[in-house]
Amino acid sequence: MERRTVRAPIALVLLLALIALAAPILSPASPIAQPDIVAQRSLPPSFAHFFGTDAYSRDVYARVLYGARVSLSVASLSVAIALLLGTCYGAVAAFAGGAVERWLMRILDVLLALPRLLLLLALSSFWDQVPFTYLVILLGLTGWYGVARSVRSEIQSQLTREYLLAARATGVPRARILSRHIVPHLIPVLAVYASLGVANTITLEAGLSYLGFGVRAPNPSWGTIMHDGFSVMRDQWWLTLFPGIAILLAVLACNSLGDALRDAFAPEQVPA
Amino acid sequence: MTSPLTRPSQSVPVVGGGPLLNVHSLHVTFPAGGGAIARAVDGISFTIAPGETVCLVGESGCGKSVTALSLLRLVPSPGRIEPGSAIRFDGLDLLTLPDEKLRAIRGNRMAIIFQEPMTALNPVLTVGDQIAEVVRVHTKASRKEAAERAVAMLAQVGIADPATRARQYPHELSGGMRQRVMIAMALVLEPQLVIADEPTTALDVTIQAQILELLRELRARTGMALLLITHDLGVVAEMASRVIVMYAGQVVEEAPVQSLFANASHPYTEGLLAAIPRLGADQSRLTTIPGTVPAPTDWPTGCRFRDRCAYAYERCATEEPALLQIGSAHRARCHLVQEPERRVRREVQE
Repeated sequence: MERRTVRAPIALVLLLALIALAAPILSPASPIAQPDIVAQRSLPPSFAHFFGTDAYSRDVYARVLYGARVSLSVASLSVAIALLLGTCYGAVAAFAGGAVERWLMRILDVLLALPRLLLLLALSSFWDQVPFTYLVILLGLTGWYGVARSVRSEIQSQLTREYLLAARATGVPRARILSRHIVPHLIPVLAVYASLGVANTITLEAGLSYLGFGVRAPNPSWGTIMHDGFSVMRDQWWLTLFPGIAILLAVLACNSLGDALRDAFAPEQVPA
Repeated sequence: MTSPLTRPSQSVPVVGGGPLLNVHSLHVTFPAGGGAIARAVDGISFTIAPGETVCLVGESGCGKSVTALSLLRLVPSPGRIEPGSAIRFDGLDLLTLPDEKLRAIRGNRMAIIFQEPMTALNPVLTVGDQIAEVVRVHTKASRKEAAERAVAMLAQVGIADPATRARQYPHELSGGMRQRVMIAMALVLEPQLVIADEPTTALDVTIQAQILELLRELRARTGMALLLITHDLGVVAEMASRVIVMYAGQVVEEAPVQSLFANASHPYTEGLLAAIPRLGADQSRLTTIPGTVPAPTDWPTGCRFRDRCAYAYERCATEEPALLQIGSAHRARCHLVQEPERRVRREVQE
């Protein structure tokens, strides 16, 4: 693997995670405190408030930093669920073969035909505001189809490889063939999916929150902060600009990591 | 193993009684779509004695590789070994053996060397790991012991600086070296029988000779029996003590190697021998056998070779020849054995 191409995106992603973790150190202000709702409301960016304040006098800089925690954890937890579900589903389909596989793939086609955003909006209407845990589960439950497909086709292509026959011919037990000879080939697929999936889910969660269906206030996610600033975007641009930039950076970092991983793994998938 | 490790003599060597491997009436079929069934291996019987080198010869598509795979019950699905077939290995009935017991034989007492060292090694594991895995699966050796045996085995198959090579991945090695690794994998536990499926086909000519030499040397050292599958009669002449010629899913001739080269009795074998190019021979064109192997879904009636045979006559179309005894260990599936006076050439229409 060519490590250099992956190094920069990994550093960027780690930096974002670090910022999210270190939010209390980086921001002395609380993201939910409303110090003076009359005198300090809707202030533009200044040295006291780097990103200004909102209509409730809350510090936007603090909210964006803490928002990273919510946005990034929603995205990565739901992607983890999606990877788990998709890997299991794809593996079962690939190993079962025959009619079972055909039906599983047909079901997958139906699921893929459902528009994810509309489905999420419909499901979110069960709650006034979706609690964090349920949001993660909903995003995870609607995010695994692509993973299942890739995992199935990767396992399927592995199953025809001569080195699996060679492994069987030397008496390697089934479980060991799976763990030592097949699973390592899934890692590139899953790593690429994880990073692209996180990027995708960050925007999706932001979109949902922006539409008012996302994470329950006052714990802000980047989408929630933008939602708060939406109605006053023309006068108080800082309410939407800074969380917007945060989303942009996070998505960019994850996407470039995904691309870099794909390039880095490519030569290994086609042995020289 | 106690067999003498000189080249076995002409007659079938029998050490300590019965054969090591006894294949009887092996039938392997594949569903071929549209309800058709491909009878890829159609009633093959042969034996291999301990320490013997037997060559299985035939052109592509005649069922050689399927025969090899069925010996360890590795026929890829949906292919299957038909009931009535029997494979006995060292007294064990391999076709009824429980999976776990069979697994204990694979790679341990009977091993396969595959044709393509490029694709038969896993690209994400080091070659040392892949050899050590065989040791770990079949013995109680620790990780460290297994790794040491892998390195020692790499040295035995003639790889320089084996400790370094063991830590490398298959793509870092040359084709010849990869084939040496495959051989190391197959031989690390000193199996009684090694099946080599065209082990040199994917290699350069110079490397081919080295690999054959290595196989011969290792056979002499360990006393293993070797079933060498090839379409190269040069390899046969160099390696075999006995030869089995396959055509269209059947054995068409079986003989000790000298006997086969001196006195080929089946027209197909004759054709194979005639097709070897000779230096200095007065030939403007290479000799070939006209036509191709018929489809396994639709073997012709009578003799399966008759469409390509220069001697075919009426009887060949109606009656399927049996495997007829010629000498003590020489048999051929041809009516000419009984009616040598019919050996009259005619033109074969392509």
